[in-house]
Amino acid sequence: MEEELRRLIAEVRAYPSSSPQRRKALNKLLMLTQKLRGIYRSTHPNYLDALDRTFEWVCKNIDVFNLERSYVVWFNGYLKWRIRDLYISDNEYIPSLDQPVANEDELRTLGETIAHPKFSLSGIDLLLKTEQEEQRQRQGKAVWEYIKQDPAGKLTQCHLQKDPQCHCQLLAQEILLHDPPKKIAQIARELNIKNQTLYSHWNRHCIPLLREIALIFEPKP
Amino acid sequence: MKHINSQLLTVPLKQQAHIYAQQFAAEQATIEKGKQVYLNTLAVCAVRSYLQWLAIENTVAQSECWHPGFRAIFNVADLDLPQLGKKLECIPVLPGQNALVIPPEAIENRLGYVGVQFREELEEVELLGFLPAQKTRHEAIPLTQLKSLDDLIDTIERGEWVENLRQWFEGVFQLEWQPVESLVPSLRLKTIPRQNTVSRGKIMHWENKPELILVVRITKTTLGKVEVCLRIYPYGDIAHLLPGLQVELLDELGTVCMEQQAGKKTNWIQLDFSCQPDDIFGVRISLGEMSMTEQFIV
Repeated sequence: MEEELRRLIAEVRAYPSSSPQRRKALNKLLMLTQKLRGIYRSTHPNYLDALDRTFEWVCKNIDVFNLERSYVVWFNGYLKWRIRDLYISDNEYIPSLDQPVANEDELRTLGETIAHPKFSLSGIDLLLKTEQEEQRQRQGKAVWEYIKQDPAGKLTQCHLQKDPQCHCQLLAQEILLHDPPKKIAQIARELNIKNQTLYSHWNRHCIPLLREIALIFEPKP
Repeated sequence: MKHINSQLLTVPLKQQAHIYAQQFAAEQATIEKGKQVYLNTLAVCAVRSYLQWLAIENTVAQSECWHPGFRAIFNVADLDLPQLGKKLECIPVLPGQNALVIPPEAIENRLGYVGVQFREELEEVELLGFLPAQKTRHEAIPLTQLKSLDDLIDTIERGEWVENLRQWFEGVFQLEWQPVESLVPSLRLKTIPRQNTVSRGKIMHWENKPELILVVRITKTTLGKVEVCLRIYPYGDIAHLLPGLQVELLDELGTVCMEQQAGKKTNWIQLDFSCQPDDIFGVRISLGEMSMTEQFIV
């Protein structure tokens, strides 16, 4: 592992910055780094942000890494420093050689004093239920209302030439608003229309029209 | 599945990513739509982080998923690569899912697709790989068909010198592409401005040989096709092209589709052809062992 690591660092350094060869070597170095034992882990709320910043810093500074030192110590040194302050400039960082930069207990205690919200896939529903209810004017909801109401009649007017019933409003409701969204092939079967006809109508006429409508809803300042 | 054994890159999800995701998802009409927006936002933020590590320029300023109207209507997770004028689509993959589902609204102007694997804990994601944009419209692509992140880097590298001709119709040109009259004064009287037609020229430099001018004229036709006329002129006061100069038209795979050669007194060489939107072609100009190639996307 250690040998592989040194070989990869040398490979990264051999190529000029921004070259595809260097970026590919960095891919390998990052993947290996993530498997290394001893990379510092913490439940501190800043940990994931700091880890992200550390990967970026490593990619930028790998040329100045001293190959005679421990890579893991070098990595953890910056990471622990970053956890303590996410927003100061890299210029303020002075790597202390082999000394651990921060006391681990100190970091952990700090982490425990700040509430650390846990995000999870199955928690999204519950989170959104409250969050959505709290928002008085939901722009996303207004967009859906627009599609359902079609106040200017644009969506219903955008239909297959031979089939006025097969219009953009119906398709948008089935493909985009329906839960779960219907597949174009399924709608084609239901309406007894050729798949390709429906697909090209959707792509050529409906999507551009819906893009126009999307633009009505300006980002809030 | 292939990706279980191979090496994947893990990207931590930042606090700010969750803040955006929550904010965008809370605007939505339903919980289901909100969840889609939440995961799309996280996926885009994760790919941004990765590109940031490798110092690859990217922005969400023009992203549809960052616009309230677009993200409410479409299932989009697009990230702009401004140097290429193209987008990367960052597609969330949920636990147990074994295909990448590409929505029809996420096909236009995409360089390709990055699969972003989520786990129950939303602390980090894994980048499953990259799928270059392709013309075949499969709505679901098995994860086993994803290529590595190295392929993404190669695609970005190749893309960096693909001139986007579609942007010409919108008046967007790279600096080296100049109005034709300024490069070939004799053409000043002959070009009649027409609607749906754009012409630009570029000086092509070689070592130790007189420079050339590559002129590209594109015309939109009513059928959605684009007609392309390429001309190679000598630059400056030189009247003729060097004898033996060869101009070849290459398709996306580099296969020669058309070619012309300069004779003893050739003033210019011209190639005419028509393209479909998203077609990629190259022009190779060669003389003896020297050659240079320009790539275009329609």
